[in-house]
Amino acid sequence: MLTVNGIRAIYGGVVLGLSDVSLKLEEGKVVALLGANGSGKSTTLKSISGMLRTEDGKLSEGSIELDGKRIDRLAPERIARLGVCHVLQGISVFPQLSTEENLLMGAYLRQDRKNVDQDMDGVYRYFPNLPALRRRKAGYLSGGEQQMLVIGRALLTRPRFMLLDEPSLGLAPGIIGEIFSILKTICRESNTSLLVAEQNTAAVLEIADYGYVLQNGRTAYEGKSGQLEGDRVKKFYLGLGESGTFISYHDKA
Amino acid sequence: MKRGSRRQADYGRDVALIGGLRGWTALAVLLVATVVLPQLLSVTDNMKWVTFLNFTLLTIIAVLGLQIITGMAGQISLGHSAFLMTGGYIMAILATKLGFPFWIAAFLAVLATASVGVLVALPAIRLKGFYVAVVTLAFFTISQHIFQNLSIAGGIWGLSNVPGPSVGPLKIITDTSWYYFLLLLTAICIIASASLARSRIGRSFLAVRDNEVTASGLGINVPGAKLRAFFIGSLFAGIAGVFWTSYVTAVRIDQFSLWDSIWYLGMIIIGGLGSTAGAVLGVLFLQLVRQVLHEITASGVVPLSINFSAALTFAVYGLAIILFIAFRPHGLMAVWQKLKTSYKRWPFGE
Repeated sequence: MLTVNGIRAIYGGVVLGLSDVSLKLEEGKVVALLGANGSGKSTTLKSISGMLRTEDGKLSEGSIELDGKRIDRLAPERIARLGVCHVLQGISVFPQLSTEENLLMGAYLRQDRKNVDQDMDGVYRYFPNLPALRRRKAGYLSGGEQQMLVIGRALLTRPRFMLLDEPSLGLAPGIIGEIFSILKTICRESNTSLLVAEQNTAAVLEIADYGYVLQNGRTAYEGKSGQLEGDRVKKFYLGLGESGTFISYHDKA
Repeated sequence: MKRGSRRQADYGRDVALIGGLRGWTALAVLLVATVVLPQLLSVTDNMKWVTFLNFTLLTIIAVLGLQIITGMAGQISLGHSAFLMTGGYIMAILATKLGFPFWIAAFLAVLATASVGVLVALPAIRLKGFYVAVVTLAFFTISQHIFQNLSIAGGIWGLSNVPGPSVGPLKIITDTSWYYFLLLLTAICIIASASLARSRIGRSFLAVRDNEVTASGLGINVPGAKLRAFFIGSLFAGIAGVFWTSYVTAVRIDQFSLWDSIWYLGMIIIGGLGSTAGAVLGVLFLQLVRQVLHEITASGVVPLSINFSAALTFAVYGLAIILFIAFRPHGLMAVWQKLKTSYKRWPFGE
């Protein structure tokens, strides 16, 4: 179990990224992380994966624990070795490497070559577009294919916890649905927990078990995904009142 | 890649299979050509061209090292010739002053150079881009001062009487025997470098070059990968430096200049960054350009002063780099790939 306890993140010693975020990610669950632009979704994921320090940020309060052990002081590659895989926002393929080489980079830490082959076949089964593109340079793949590749690469790390930052960014609606249903399958078949930061609320709540709403760097609201689909999320997250008129969080409506 | 062959075949792979047969033929022709080359060249009155080939082979080994550090791992090094200097000097000191047998001295000198590479990398990996270049530049100046002022290194006169290698009963002395020896050594280095590029470590270098953050997210120790790149790259430079010294039987401070570092960078830019074959092509191209210019001015066909012809070499070299960056930014390697695909696709496409 991955727990985030009241973290406060500061960039460059002065800029407040998060003021008080807490969440829990249990085994085999899909958890949605919702919030408006700048609410702290990406910063939360970066805090967990340790990527925060690559952007000159650090945690000044709170802690992050993996199975009861603190991981918030570890370097990103150490956290990755514990089975936490962060799929960054925007597409982060290695453009000069082929599709297959990109996937193999995911297996960088693994010694079990037989299972790697098996998992590779698994990824090709999840994403049937990819096998034909095996030898193509990843930089030449389309946006959707690159997103599939990045998720496939993350799967090859055999993560226990996968942190996905806006997997739907820049994708066509049809592909978004496809990618989310594949994510759900992956979660069920390999008992991987997913923490998905998303703007596309409807798509992610379709597959999520639980969700958190961030507002101005705090966990403003949490609940089962069914509850979140109701009115309160509309109020908190979309800033829309029942009649569709604009309201602010400060109105406490 | 072996791993891929198990999976489904496609048309591209079938074509590659046929292309593979052609590739082997081309390789065989190339092999025969390289072997008989010195015999052909010795028809002319002197051994000048064989000497030229030997220096070219040594340069290939050195540039393969730079290709690993700069081309694959993305760390710009302006101090590459200082690694050759380190290897050359340590070799000369061990073999002439301390009386080590040739191969032991060579082995220790190469290992020492690689360790120096790690030392240089320690401050360099904390920095990015341009600043790495400055650190390696500083390393060049420092090592120049050290070897110039070290009494055991012979001061400004350097050291002479550095022995040559012997393989079993064969002593490598003549230019032609050096040619075959260096050809073998270069072939080994090329194979090593190409296998590195295809290995897990090689891929981690490329990952670090392309995107450090993503690389660390996949569990790659980014500083560790850079250290490894410097270790392996300076290992190649050490090999080149050791045999360079041994080939010319002496080592002097002006033998490995800052200009050489710049030439090496130009060679990988012209050849194509990150590819082993690109490194080889780049060296061959620039060495030929340099030698042809030298021949033209030395023959007296065009009446030019020595100073002018030296300046001309640099001007042409600079022009070549500018033209390549402007028109063929991916280097000779990309030109070759393009020719190859259009040959395969003929008569379809361009």
